[in-house]
Amino acid sequence: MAYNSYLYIVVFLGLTLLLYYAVPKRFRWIILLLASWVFYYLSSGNLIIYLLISTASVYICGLWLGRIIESYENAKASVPREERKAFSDRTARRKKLVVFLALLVNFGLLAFLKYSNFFADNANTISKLLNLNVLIRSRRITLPLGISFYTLMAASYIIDVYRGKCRADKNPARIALFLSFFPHIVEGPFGRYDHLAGQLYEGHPFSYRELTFGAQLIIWGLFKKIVIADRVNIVVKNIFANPQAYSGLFVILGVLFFTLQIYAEFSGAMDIVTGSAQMFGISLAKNFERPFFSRSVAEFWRRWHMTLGAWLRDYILYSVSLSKWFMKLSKFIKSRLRSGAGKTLPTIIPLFLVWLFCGLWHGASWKYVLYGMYYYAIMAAGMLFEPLFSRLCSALRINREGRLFRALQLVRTFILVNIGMLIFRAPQTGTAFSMLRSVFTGFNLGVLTNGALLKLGMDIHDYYVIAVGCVIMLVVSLLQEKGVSLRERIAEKNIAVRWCIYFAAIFAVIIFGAYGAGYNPVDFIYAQF
Amino acid sequence: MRDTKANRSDSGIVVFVRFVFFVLTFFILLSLASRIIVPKSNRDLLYFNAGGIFSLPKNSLDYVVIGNSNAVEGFSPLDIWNGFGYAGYTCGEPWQNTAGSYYMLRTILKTQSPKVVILDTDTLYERKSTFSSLENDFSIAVQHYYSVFRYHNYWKKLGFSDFLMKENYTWHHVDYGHAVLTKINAYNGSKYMASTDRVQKMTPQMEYYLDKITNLCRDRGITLVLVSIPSPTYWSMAQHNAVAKYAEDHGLNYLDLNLNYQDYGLNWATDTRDRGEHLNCYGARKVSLYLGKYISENYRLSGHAGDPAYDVWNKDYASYFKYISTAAPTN
Repeated sequence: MAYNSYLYIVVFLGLTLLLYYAVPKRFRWIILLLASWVFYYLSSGNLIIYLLISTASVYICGLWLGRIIESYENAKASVPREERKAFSDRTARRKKLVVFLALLVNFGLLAFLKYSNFFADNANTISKLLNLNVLIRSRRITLPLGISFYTLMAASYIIDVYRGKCRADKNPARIALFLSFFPHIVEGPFGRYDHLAGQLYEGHPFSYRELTFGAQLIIWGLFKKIVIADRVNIVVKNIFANPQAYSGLFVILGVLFFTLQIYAEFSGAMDIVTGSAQMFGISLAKNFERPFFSRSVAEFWRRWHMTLGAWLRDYILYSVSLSKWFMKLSKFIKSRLRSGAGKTLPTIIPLFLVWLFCGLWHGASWKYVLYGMYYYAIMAAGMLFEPLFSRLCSALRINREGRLFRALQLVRTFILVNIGMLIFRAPQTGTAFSMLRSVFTGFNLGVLTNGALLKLGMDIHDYYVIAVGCVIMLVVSLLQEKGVSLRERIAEKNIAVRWCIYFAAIFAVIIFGAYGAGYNPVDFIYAQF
Repeated sequence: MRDTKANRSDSGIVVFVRFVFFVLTFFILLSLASRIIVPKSNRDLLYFNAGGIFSLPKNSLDYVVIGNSNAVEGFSPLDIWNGFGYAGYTCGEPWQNTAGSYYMLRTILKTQSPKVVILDTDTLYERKSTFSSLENDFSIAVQHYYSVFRYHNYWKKLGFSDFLMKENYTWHHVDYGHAVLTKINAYNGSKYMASTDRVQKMTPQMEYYLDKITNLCRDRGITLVLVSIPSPTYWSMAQHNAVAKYAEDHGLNYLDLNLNYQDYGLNWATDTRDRGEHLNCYGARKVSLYLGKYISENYRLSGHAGDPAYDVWNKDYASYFKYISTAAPTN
């Protein structure tokens, strides 16, 4: 069930809200859980079994971990001092075993369902190169909805219990609701157990403010998805489906429009789901913070898909960089390399794993590995050359906080991100490179005036809508960047003004939306991960 | 938190009343938008050439055909007119399902009161998952009641006159909804409709809308006939069995033109435009004449042959006949 469908907005969300507020507070979590499972079943059918397996596995392993921790805490004081270390090591090993089991079940399912064909294809290629007579057959596997999202959330829960960040939950319903909550199961944001589980379980009182603020966010998300993203998709699809037919400005337009599409669509989806949750009084984590105002690629990734970045930082970067073996390696590097590289290398090495994981998480293909490595290379180079660049700026007396410099940094980041988007959207890695090359080989400004842009599937009215839509998005972003809360501002107005704004927004979506006859329905891009 | 109007705790009744007014205003605006942002010429209404039905005099049709592209390309009202004097129109939409047929019929009945409604049974089998089909049905219903959802893109052509909401339904479709296609692309596949007891059930939604069509026709005194247009790609004996059972249970007539296509001379080498998916105009002629005969034998329609009010039908048939007689078949 797509978040932008009539059925979701009008029927599913509407009915769930009615039922939620109709039952006593202590039963409200039941409505949310049932609604989440119905949502999942309607979207994915019997594949709900994988979600239930993940839920059961983290619940059981969490309890197991909890018992180990509890018995350790209880017995710690009574263990003789000379045996304490051995006891502690034994407990740590048992804890690790349980975490390993939980991760094996969850990542094992993900690997089988999402990556088995990728592994099989690569094994077959290697087998062919080595003249081995081994062939692994590819299977047609339907991916359960949101598996890339709920698997990471399940892993975060079990690791948090292991780390003592949260206690193992004895209530299976709370875990089931945390993993399956319908607004975040399709494409996030990644919730953390300590932040979300309690909120989901407790019954929230009806709040007019939460309801109207949530509804406003949903309309804003629909505007970005249906009016902007789905409209530019026509041109993006056209250009990327026939890359050999386009060059120069067409490729630039295709990439720019894809960047616009994915931003409007993904951030729009986040607005819809955050708004949906807010209507129940539940606050989801922020996933976007105006990423195109970033001055570096690293900052961009702190503002784009923020909950994925935070997950990678907390569960991959920290797991590696704070592990005993890596601490030893880091010490060794620092002792051998006295220069700046000695400090930078220990950070760059675990980053490799972060970006490899990030790339592969997006999809089972070498294209996504390249996508991750592209950002890794930029960030690693940035860290390695930063001391040199800093000295250069000092020598040339360049003010790195000056307006011009900051503007150049924004432009540079924007260009680098767009190249990343080209890799992400191109059908294959080779195509991405040939498209990038064709920008320079077939550049012709004439296409701006000869009407060629109107043959890409969008007429002049569509371009006007995109232009106005972008201006609105930019103005909203600028205001938010200045700390203005638009929803608060709207709420301060009198009812006539408020309603005018609401109706204008609703009818902008209905009238200017790219849906129905002449448009193909566009699935959410991140829902396919 | 700042003291804003939204933060203040209004009483439940105030919130409720405000909500009711908001919803009412929304529906009023939606109705208004559905009057303004809609094509004022019937040329742009509905799909294919179905909008042409609005230019015909009220209650002038004896029968209507409802369905998808199979119906639009497989029925020729002008051949039935010439052979039997019955006035009819083919109202089809691409990929129309039973929900679409139901709402199409309701639209037609606003201006016409046919004695016979022919429903193309291909609409009973939607090639979508149950859930997508449900979403689609919901969307069709919303579009029927609030046409702005269907014609919202018309804002690009919006002019001052649109705000006057004056309709101009004068566009006349000379083939009465039929898409006359001379292309020939033979069907060379194996024989189909082999005897079987297997039954391919309709989805509950499709059956629900078929029930609604049946009841609507019954309430209006209209004879509903289920007709399967020849198509080796889209039709099978298992589907036939399901429709035949439904027709029997509900006292409807069911005519499957796939069963005896040799009897009325249909030739898959010359009468399909796309290897058996759809009929071309040569196939449509044969189907229509056979169907006309079936109507004349089973239903007492008086027809309008010789009626001066229907002169235009004769003129249109003459130009249609000239076209299909002279147009070179294409591949």
